[in-house]
Amino acid sequence: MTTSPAAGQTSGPADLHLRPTVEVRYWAGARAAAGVEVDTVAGSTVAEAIEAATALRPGLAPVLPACSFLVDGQRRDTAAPLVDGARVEVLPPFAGG
Amino acid sequence: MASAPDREPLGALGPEPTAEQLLRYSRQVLLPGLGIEGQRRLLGSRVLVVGAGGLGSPALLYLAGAGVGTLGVIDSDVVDVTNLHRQVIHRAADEGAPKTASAASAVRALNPDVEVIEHRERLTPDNALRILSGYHLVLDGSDNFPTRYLVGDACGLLGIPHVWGSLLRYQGQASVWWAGHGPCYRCVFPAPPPPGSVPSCAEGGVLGPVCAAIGSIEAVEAVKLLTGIGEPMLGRLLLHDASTQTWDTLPVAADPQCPLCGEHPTIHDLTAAAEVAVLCGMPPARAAVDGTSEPGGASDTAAPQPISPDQLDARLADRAAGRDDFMLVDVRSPGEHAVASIPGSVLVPVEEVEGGWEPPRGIPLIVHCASGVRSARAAAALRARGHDVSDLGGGIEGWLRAQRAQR
Ligand SMILES: [Zn+2]
Repeated sequence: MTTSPAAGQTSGPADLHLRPTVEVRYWAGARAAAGVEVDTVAGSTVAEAIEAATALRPGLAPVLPACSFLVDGQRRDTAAPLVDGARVEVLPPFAGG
Repeated sequence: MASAPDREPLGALGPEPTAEQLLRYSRQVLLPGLGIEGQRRLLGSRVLVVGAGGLGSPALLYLAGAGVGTLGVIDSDVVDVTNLHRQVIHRAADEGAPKTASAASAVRALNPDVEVIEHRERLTPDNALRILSGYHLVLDGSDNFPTRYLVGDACGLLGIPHVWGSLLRYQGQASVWWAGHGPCYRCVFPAPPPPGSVPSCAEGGVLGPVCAAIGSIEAVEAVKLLTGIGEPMLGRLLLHDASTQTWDTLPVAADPQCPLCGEHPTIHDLTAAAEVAVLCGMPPARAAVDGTSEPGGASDTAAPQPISPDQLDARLADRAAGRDDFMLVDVRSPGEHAVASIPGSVLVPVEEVEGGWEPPRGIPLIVHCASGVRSARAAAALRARGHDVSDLGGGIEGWLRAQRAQR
């Protein structure tokens, strides 16, 4: 599914620039919290992408602070930039054994 | 060394197999790539399994069956009845016995070729390097973040592969971490999650066969690394969801900024791992490698003595007779409360208690959870707001055990 978080919002200076369209894919508990496997959102950083995802899926809010984010097979900080078509993998940690 | 050291067999070459061993291992010696040499490598291998729990049970049995010559098992806990639905190396009759002893006897009964080393202790920052350094690889079947970071950091510092799997509910993850050859645990999970943000199996539940699936994957990866066959699951993260029966793998690369194995590492000893234990509210002295422990709680040294199940029963009887008055508060989740509850208890999850829930003034409170960790948090929060609070030691599990003992 495609959403444009900017749609219907008052445009600030940031919205004058087209932000990259990225996929956010949820795993394990994050998938359960989101209720879907993947969302397509706009975001020029990991932080923006997960903020847009949380706006779509409020249930993610308590889960995300614990998660690791992988982009192109590399763990990234939330400040990491995203390019158009990037995929952010949302990995909740767990330790059970 | 060859150009791809992660494809070199890790196991030392053991002696020529005896005729009996050739028979015992004939079906795996037949395997392309394994052969007699692979079998000798297995017999010459030393593997440490951390935790004889849900993951350790199948892993130990399969590694024993395969003829891994030396199997170490570290666990400080005793077999508990709540373990038996998934920790299938133990038997009902083993209840109360040390898990290492129960696991060792199962391994010896399966394969007398295997020498079992029982480490009946907790893995701590003080003993981890000494214990792990005697093994070719470590198979991580622990059940809490402090032990996982401790195993990951110790393996990274020693250059030992860390065969890793973890579980929650219907989900499993597995990988092979190996600093210098691929990512380490901290490359993907650089720091533990905030305390209380991720449930343990004791809080969230876990399905037994999912333990078998992930523990078995760990055993496969160990055999591959020891014998040098196949492609190890290095640089790949396996994600399993048993509820939809899906298996996915994601590529994962080493992180140049990794604090353990990156270009400018900041971790040179186990101090950081010890800090994880403190962060998780679980000092190493309490960091059990057992499926029933509940990480994430904070200890409160100023707290009064918890009350016992017998004392609670006496007070419940007195309350029913009108001689006592108190409120029994179950601070677990609604799902846990629905499964089993102490009659007369009121459900207020610990998050609500910590979020400011105010019980009626002037009535003493008794709080309980599953095993005592969350109720200690709730008691501390309520005491800080001026309430008279007693904490049921051992939680509802302890109370159920006491009920069972009375029958
Ligand atoms: Zn690393």
